[in-house]
Amino acid sequence: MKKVLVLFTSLLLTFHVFSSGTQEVGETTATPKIVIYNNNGVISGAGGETASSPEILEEMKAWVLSETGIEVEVIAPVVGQESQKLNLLLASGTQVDAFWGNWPDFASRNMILPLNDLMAQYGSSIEAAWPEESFAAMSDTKGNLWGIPRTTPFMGNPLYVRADWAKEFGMDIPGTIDELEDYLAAVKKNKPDSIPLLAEMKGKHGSSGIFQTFAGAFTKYGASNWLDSDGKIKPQELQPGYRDFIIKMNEWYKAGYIYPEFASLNRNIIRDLIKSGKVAANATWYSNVTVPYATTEANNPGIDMEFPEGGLTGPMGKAETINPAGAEGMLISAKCEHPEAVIKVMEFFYSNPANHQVAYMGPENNLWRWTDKSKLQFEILKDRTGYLGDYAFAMGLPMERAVSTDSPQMAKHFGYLGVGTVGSGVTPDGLDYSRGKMPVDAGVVYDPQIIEKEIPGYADIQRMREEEVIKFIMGARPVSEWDAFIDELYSIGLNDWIESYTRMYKSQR
Amino acid sequence: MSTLSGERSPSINRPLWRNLRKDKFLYLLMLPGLLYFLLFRYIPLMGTLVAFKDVAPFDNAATILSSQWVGLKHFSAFISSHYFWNIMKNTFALAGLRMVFEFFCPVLLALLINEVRNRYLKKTIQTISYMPYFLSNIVLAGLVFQLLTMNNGVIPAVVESLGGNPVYYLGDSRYFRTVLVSAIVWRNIGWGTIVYLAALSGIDPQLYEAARIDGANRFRQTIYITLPGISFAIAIMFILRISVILNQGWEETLLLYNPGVYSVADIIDTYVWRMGLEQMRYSFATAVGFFKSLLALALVLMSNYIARKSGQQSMYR
Repeated sequence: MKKVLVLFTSLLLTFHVFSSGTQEVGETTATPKIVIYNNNGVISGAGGETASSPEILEEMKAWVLSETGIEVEVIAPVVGQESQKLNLLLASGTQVDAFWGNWPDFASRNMILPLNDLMAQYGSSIEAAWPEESFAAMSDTKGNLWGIPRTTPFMGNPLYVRADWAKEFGMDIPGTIDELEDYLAAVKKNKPDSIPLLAEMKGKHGSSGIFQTFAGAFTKYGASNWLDSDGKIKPQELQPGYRDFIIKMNEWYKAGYIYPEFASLNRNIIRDLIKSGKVAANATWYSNVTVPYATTEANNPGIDMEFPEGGLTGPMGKAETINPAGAEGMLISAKCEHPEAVIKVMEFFYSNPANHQVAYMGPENNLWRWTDKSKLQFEILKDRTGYLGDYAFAMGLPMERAVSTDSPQMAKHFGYLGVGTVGSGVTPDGLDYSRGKMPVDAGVVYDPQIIEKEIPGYADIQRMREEEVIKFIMGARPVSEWDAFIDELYSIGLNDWIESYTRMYKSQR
Repeated sequence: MSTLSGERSPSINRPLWRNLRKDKFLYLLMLPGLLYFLLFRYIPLMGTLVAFKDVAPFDNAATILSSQWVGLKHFSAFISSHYFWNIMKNTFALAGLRMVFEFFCPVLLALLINEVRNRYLKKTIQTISYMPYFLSNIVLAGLVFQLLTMNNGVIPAVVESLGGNPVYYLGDSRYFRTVLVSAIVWRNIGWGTIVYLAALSGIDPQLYEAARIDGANRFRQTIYITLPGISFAIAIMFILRISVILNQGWEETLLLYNPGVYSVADIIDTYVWRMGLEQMRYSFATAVGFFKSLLALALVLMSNYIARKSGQQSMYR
C-alpha cells in the first residue's frame, strides 16, 4: 500500500510539473485564425484595470467570424506595461499575428512584414482613410510600408485648467506662462487641498506632458530634437532657452505647484486625481481629462475644464509641441501565417464606420444604439462596462470622427476629436496645429539598429537625460550645474548621438 | 554522506545501482524535482549562449546556435558603461541592507517571541506577523504608494502633524532605500521567524535551568544558550540567503522606483529589465544577467568557505 501511495504521489507530482507549462494546441481548421494583441490604447484608455465580459467577447468574436470568415482572438494588454508584455509574448514564441508598435523597432530586427502588396490587394478602404503623411511615417526610405497608421499629427497635450476656479478668482483662462503662474498662485492660496498642476513624465502614446505642454514657451522648437545652425540635429536639452524652461519648472516645483509625484504617475492615478476635481491645471495626455469627464462633472458639479483658446504662449511663442504623425501603427508579425486575414479584418472595420462603431463600443443596443444609422448618429445607453473595445482595431481619428453622438457621456472627448465633423470643414481642437510647434524632425525615422551600432553610450545618455532633468526640476540638483550636466552628456557619447542622428536625419530629408 | 557523528552511512558503501534498486520508490519521489530542475533550470541555461552572440529571441531557436559569436562584447559594453559602478553599488547596497535587516530582524523577532510566556499572546503575535507575507508585490507596492502619497497619504500627514515637512519619499533619493527595505522587511519578518522558532523549541530546557541556578539573567541566557543553540540554523539560513540575495527584491524595486531615484535604486535586475524588455537588447541584457549570476556564485562559495572555516554548518565540503 505504501509503495502504491509513493508511486501515485510521484506520478501526481510529475504530472504537475509538466501540466503547469502546457498550452492548448489549436485544432486544425479551414477557418484562418489570427491572434491580435490589442495594445493600441483603447483598452488602457477605457478602464483596462478591469476586463471585458467573456460573453460579450464571444459575441464579438462570432460577429467578426460571420462577417469576415476569420476567427480573431484578442490578447488584452497589462495597463502601464503594454510594451513589456508584448515583448514577452514575442520572445516566448506565443502566437501574436498583429500588434501595435513603432515599426523601426521591429522592422530592423526582421520581425514584421512589409504590407505594400497586401494593402494593394485587400486594403483599399484603409488606404483611403488615412492621410498621406500618416502612411509616409509608416514607410521607410525604400517605400516599404511597415504598418497600418495609428496617428495623425495631433495636439495631445493641451493645458486644461479649471475655468470655473479662474472665474472664481476673477481671472480669465490663463493664456500665457505669466498668467498661468498667477493662476497657480491663486489656486495654491485659495484651494489649499487642490493640486495646482498635474504634469507627467511618461504617459499614454509616449506623452511627456511636462515637456510637451510647456517647453515651447521657452524654446524655438519645443520639446523635440532641433536643428542647430551648424546643420546638426541635437537633443532638446541643448536648445537655447531650455535651461530657462527647467528653471521655471523648478520654481513651480519649489512653490508647490507641480504635483510632487510627477515622475511616477500612471494613467490610473492621473485619472483618479482628475475625477476627484482637485486638479487645477492638467499637463498630461488630453484623454485623461476628456474620457472620464462625465464622471468628473458628476463628482464635481459646476466643474469646467478648458484650455486656452489659441493655445498657451510664452516668451518664445506657442508652448505646446505637436505630436507628429508617428511611427506607431498596427504591425504584422513576420511569423504570421495568414497576413492577408489580418488585412481583411482591418479592411472590414475600415470599410464602414458602423463596423468600427460595433468594434469600439460593443454589440448594438447593449451599451449604445443607433439613433440615425444612415447619418451614423448614435446614443450611449449606459456607462462603458463589460466591453472595453477589445476588437477596436481601427482606432485613430479617421474612423473615430466618422460617427457622431449627442450623448453627454463622451461629449468632451468626441468634441476634442471632432467626432461627426468629417467633411464639414471644421477643424477639431485635436487637429488645430496653430496652437503648437511641429518638431523639426517630424517623420524622420531613427533606426534602433543604427543607434545601437553607432552610439555605444545610448542607454547611458537616455538615462542621464531622464534622471538628471527630473533632479533639476525637483531641486535635487541645483540648476547652476546645468552646464556641467551638458558636459557630462558629451563625456558619455553625446557627440556620437549628434553625428548619428544627423546622418539619419539628412538621409531622409 | 556522513552523519553528524562522523560515521559513514551504510548505504554509501553500496554501489549506486544497488541503492537505486533497493530504494527505487524513494528515488522515484525525487524524479519530479529532478525533472523540474532539468527542464526549468538547466536546459534554459543554453539560452545563456545569447549573451555571447547578437541574437534576438524572435529568431528561431536554431539561430542561437548558428549565429556568429561576438565574444565578450556585451560584457565589455556593460562593464564600460557609465553607470556600471552605480548599478553595482546599488545592487550590493540593497543586498547588504536586506541582509542586515531582512536576515537579522527575524532572528531578533524570534528571540522576542520566544520570551513571550502567554501562549495565546505568542500565537497571536506570530499569526499577525505572518500575514503580510501573503501579500503580492503589486499589493505591497500599492500599499506603499497609498501610505506615502502626497494626496492625503497617512505618512506625510503624520509627519506634518508632528511639525515636519513631508516630501514625496519615493521620489527622493535620500529616503528611497529606507522605504524600500522597510516595506520588504515588514512583509517578510514574520515568515522569516519560523525556522528560528523551530530551532528554539529544540533547545534543552535544562540548559536554561542550569544557567538560572548559576545566576545568569535572561540576557545572558540568550547570549550563552539561545543564540549558540540556534547558530546552526542561522548559518544555514545565511548561506541560503546569500545565494539568492542578488535575485531578491528586484520586483519591489521595479514597482516602486522612478527615474528620479535611479541613482540609488537602479540595480542589475532593473537594468536588465529595461535593456531587455523595454529596449529589446536581449543579448546585452542576457550578458548582464549572466554577469550577476557569476557574482552570486562567488558570494555563495565565499560564504560557504567562511562558514566552514568558522566551524559552522556549510552547504558544500
